Amino acid sequence: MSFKSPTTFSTKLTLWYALTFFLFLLISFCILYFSVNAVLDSEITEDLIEDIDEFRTLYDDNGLGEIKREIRNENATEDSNDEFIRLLNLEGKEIISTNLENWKGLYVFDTKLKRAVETYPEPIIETIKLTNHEYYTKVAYALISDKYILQIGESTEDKNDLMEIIAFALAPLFFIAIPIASLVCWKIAKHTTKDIEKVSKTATLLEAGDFTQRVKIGSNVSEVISLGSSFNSMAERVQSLISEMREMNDNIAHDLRSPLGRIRAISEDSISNNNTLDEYKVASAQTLEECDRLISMINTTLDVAEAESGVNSKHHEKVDISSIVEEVCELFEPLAESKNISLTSTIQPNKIIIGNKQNLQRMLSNMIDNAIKYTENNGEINVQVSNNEKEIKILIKDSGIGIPADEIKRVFDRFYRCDISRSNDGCGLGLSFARAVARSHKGDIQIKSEVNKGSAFTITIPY
Amino acid sequence: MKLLLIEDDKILSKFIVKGLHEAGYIVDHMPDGLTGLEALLQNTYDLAIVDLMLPKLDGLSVIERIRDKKIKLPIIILSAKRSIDDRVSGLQKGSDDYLTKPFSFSELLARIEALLRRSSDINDLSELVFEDLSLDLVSRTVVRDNKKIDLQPKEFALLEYLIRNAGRIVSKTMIIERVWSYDFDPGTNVVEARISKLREKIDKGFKKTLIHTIRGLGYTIKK
Repeated sequence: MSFKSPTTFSTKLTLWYALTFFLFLLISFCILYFSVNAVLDSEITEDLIEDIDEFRTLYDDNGLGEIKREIRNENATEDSNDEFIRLLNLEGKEIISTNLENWKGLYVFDTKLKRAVETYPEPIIETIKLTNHEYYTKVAYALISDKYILQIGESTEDKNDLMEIIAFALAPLFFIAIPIASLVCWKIAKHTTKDIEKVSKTATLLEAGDFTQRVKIGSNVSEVISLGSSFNSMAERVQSLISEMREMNDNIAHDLRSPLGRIRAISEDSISNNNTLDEYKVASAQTLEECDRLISMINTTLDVAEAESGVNSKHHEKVDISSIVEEVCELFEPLAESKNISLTSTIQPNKIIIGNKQNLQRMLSNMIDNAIKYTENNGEINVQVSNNEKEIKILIKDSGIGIPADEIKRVFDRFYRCDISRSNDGCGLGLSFARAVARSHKGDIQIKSEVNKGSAFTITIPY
Repeated sequence: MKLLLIEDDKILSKFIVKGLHEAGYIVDHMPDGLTGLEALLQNTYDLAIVDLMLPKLDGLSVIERIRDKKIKLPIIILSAKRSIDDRVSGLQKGSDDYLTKPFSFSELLARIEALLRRSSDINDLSELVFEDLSLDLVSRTVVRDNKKIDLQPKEFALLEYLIRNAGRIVSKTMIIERVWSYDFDPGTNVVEARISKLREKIDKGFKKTLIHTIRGLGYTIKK
């Protein structure tokens, strides 16, 4: 079959498995067959050599007469179809033999006799095919004393019978074992791919827009389980990102629409009514303010994206974070004073980190601006800069309105504003920007907060 | 003073040209990079304002060719691109300032003036006087109507900046950038709080108010 066309994984796996299994069986079978064959073959040779040794001993002990008697005995007991013994003189003339009726075509070759004499005491062994014998015959020529040559032969029929039995016993394995193994393999593959198919079907549903779909894995194959769980966590992330984005879009639309609506109303009033010059000036000023709000919102959105992408890290340099914090505190001091908030700071001097000065200034401005915004009149804000051997810690603690526990996670989302702060001035980007900056410095921001008691923001930046 | 504006946005150009005329400058306007480059090569200008995205030849190439010819006039880039990389490459190509769109006209004016007077001696003054208010730039002391006024260093810097731009409107962004050297607007109320603090010290108890708020635009010091 062609593997270029798409085939199911199960089919492919089963086919490969069956092929491999077949080859494996075939090789095992061959090894078994040929090694049994070799063992039996060498056993026949050993038999022949044993017989030769026996006859040599007989001759040495008791002379020719005893050998003749032994051959006659063999004639009476042994199956003459299986084995023959013949005693020859050095010219190849027969002296005595077992019944050779069944061994027609058994010749004596001079060369063999000569070689048997030469190689003494080793016998000459050859395998021949006799016309009236179905199987090969193993024949040995051996010199006995220096006058006679013993020609002794044994049919390989027994051996071949045994090999046939082995072959017949093994052959069915191919017809039974391969289909069974393939079936088992097919089942396992199906079971595994069922879950993969589930993942693929769920992905299709997700693509169609149903982001609540998840995969339930029935398999206990660890790779499939991990595929399923990573697929599910991906789907989870996609779902939360999409809902975040939808909410963000709603918020952006709201935040864009409101100032645009005001600009539109102001302009409409300017055109349609007879206003005084001062009223026109106020209208223009209001339009300017709304435009600036929109511009700053758009710019900050881009800045958050830029900080998140980490492009700014190219422009990092040595900065004194202690003096940055000090300057920002100094900058916001009058604003805090206008709400009668005490803005205090405990700053360890000369803490140097590698970073982007502008972004760090802006991050801290956002945090302190927020703290002032969400702290009631006569409240307290405390800023601390400290460090351990690994990181700089900047703590901004206020006695403000706090953040409800279920909203803490979301205050970093772009355009997210807690219910209480929605009416407040600002675009909901301050903390998103702050965290993006902290993260672009390989740090982060943690929040601890209690409603009506206050919040503590901890910025950590490694150095 | 003769300026060249290379900008393809017709409405924006019209307002810039009008505003610069009113500020007392002679302005030529070219709507694309090629005619802009020709004008710069044939005439002598005191300053050029160049948009980056221009038809026929982009702003950066115009600046590059001008600098290749060793023409040294100050150049301000006007651009809607505002990433750090864009700004850095603009300054590397030989511009002197970078202003992102949309911008306030008063800011453009302030930047033009800052570049034009760079070589003049206004920065070497040791005393600034406005009406009955005088700033000693050496001893960092302020006197109004013969009464000494105590100012914090930043308040002094803010007042100095306002007086140096007397009669002109300075925006919150300009103040935060020049006085605190922050490259962004850190919240709307910060400058306001600063200005009202300064007012308390400078204007409170005196007949004439000097620091004025121009709604939607910023602040100015005037009679």
